[in-house]
Amino acid sequence: MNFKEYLNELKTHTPYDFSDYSDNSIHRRIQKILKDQDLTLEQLYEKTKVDKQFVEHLVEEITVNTTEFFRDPNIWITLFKKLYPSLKRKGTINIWHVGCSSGQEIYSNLIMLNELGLAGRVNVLATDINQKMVKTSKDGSYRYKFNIPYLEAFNKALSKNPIENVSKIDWEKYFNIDLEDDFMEVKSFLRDIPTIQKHDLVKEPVPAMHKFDVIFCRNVLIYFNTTLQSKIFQLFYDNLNNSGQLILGNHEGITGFFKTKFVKNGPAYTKNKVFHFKY
Amino acid sequence: MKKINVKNIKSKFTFRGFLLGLFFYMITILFGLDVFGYIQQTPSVFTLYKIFPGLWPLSFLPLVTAYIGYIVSNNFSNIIRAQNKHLKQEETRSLTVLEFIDNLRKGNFQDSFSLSESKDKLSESLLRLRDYLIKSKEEQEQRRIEEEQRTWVTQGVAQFGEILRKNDDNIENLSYNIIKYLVEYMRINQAGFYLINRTTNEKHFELTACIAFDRKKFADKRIEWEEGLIGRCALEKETIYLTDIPNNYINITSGLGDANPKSILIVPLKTNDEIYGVIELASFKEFQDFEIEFVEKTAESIALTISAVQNTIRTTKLLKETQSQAERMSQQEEELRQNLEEMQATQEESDRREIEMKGILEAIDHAAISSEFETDGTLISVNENFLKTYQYNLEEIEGQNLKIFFFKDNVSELDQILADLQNGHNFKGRVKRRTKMGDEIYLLTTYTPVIDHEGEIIKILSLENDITEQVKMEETLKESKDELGIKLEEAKKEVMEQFKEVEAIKIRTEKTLEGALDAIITMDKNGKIDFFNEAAEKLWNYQRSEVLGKNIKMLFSESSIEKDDFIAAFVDPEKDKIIGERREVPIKDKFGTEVAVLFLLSEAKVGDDHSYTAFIQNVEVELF
Ligand SMILES: C[S@@+](CC[C@H](N)C(=O)[O-])C[C@H]1O[C@@H](n2cnc3c(N)ncnc32)[C@H](O)[C@@H]1O
Repeated sequence: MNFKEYLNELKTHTPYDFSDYSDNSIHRRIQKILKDQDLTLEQLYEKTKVDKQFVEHLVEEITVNTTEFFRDPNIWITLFKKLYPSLKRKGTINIWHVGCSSGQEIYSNLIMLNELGLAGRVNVLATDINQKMVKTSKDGSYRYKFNIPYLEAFNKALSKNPIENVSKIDWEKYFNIDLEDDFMEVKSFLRDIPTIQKHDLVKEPVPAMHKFDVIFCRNVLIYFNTTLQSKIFQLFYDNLNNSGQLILGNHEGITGFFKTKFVKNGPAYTKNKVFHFKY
Repeated sequence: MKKINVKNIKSKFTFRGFLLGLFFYMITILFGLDVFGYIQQTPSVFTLYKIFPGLWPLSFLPLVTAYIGYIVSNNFSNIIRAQNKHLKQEETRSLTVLEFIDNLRKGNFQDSFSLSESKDKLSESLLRLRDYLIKSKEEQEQRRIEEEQRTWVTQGVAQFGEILRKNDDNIENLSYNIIKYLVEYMRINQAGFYLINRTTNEKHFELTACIAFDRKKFADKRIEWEEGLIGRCALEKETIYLTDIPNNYINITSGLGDANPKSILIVPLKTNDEIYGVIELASFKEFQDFEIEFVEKTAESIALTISAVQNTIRTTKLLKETQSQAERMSQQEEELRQNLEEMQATQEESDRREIEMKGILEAIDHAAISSEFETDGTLISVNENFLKTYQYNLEEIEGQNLKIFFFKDNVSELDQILADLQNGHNFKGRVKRRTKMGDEIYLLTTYTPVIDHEGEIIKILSLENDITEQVKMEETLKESKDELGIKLEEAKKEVMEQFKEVEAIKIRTEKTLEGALDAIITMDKNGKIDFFNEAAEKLWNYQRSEVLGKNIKMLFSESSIEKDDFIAAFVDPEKDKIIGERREVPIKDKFGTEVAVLFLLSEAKVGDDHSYTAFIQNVEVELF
């Protein structure tokens, strides 16, 4: 049995489908799990078949949850300078964070929205396939020492490049900080805003009745192969409002056929209102 | 003991002396009588006397012996009397001694001084015994008290050890239990337990437990290092015992009122010369030495226990820290591994995109003239096609501005284009450029700004196609076109003349049509109504002005447009009309009334221009 066959088995026996994840990456992840748990692929397969709990655990192990507060600070600054002004006129801004991981992205966005006085008008959905990450996101509780440098880095970027007079954010406004136990917790007024739930982008239908104005899907597509990426672009296209924005990771981009369905606008891809080919 | 009758003895002995004298007198007389055997004389006493004159003195013998008896008995009785007296004395003395001993036995040492008057050995030794007994009793009492105190202390220490052993590594509980025990065991009134806190920079005491202290006073529970008696005690590492208490030193509450205690004992908790804290005890009575000793003894065990507990706490904390550190490390390791995977995946994704881009770029490179330039027009790079087209060497255009490819007259165009590009607009169009040789070339050009993630324009990408040939061809084509144009113009004039003629005819025919009985309408190929005669006006109830220029559809009902194939074809510019066939169809007049009419359609074609003329007869009219 090779890992591809294993992934096919996983697909038939469980609700999860990793068969269209990027070959190299998923292969390394599975190798890692085999090594950590001291299993052969066959043994892994046997366990996968019978143990539902284990499958959840497997998903948690397979996924890569690297994230930071205000990851790529300058992108956030551009985002707020160029993207949100156009949304200010909207009544409710519908936002979806796909692959929110442990939630730093959600709260980064909410903090900045709050600074700009928009937090009351947003409707935020955040999803991830990883149960544990969903819980962490909901708890909004983080290690202080690990996370504060990213927040400080954002403040530094802000001081050089203020957004609408916001040149420094007072983190105490948003976090209960406990230095002794090295942890910081997002205050509940912020934590109560987003709806965070487990959702598999690959297999499950979009968990919302409405379309979105902004979809964050940062550093998730790097784990997918081109076929799956295209499928997801179609899904995003279908679930974005006209002129809706898709925010991808720093090294991600729309390639192939879908390039024409979006207009690149700095770090954001805007859904093209009229669909036409460009040569 | 019977009292001997001394008088009796005297008379007895006198009498017995008399009898003895008498006896000897008689014997002598009797023996004297023998004489009568020898001498013939009448035996008589008198005769005897005469024979033996010596009998005369002898006849006094009984008196003598009686007297001797008396003397002897007198002597005896004297002795006996003396003896008796002595005996009596002895008796009283033994009684006293017995009483004395009895008293001693009873432990009554004070009432036995009667003995001290006599100075015999026995008394002396008895007195010595008494003194000894007194002393030993005192010693015994002392020993008993000491014994009692010792038991109190050992018992206390033992119970105390129990408390220390049972501690659960909670300093607060421990210190409370300690002083609670001390207060109860020593029957004192209040106690406080001050622990040295070294965790912060400033060494200070913390009141970790207290009993019966005025709570308000110790609200902050913190006492500075070297502050007051507590501080002194810790500094000197010596017990402080005070009986002269300054007023208001401590107020004992808990129902005893605000009274000042009588004595205060402050003991350092030390072991191995290391101070861990201080306990302060206050009482309404004075502390006994052994009590102080007891407290001091316990203080050392307390210090030991506290040092152990603190050690345990420190170790547990350390252990916990190491554990959580290990946990954190493995978590961090996992995070690092994930980071690595993320980087690798990102790298691979970038590679993938790069390959794709490269393919596209290569294709472009082959096919197109491409170059990149700064927002101010400074060239960054060009491809082979570019050089060929513009007939430059690479060295010649390095760092040059786009301007050099413009003819003087067109340079202003460039500024406009650059300005537009800077605003993020693409440029697309046919342009004229200048080669190195000064030749004109024509290019189909797109300039696309390349925007980074922050939305900044980093460069402009130019893709061009050489369309000079095409333009040349077009130009020649245009030239011939121009020629053609003149001819066309002439022809047009001719046609115009003809048109006029046609128009005149048209007007004539219209006039006739106008006057016709049939309703007549014409429309162009798009369905626009051109002509509407009087009969039509009557039929539809519309004024001509209301319908001319409008679409033909207004003359029919929607449903009939849908249902009737003739009308459907008639009103739809796309469909083939049914020509030359008389049909009965419904029309709709201004008021929405539907009327059945006969329709006949004819077609007129002038070049590309179609027009249709319909002749309509009212069916009802025909019926009459
Ligand atoms: C690297 S993290 C990105 C976190 C965050 N968006 C950021 O850029 O900082 C990728 C996340 O995508 C999630 N993910 C992977 N596959 C998914 C799927 N099929 N559906 C939903 N989430 C998925 C993972 O669980 C992981 O938390």
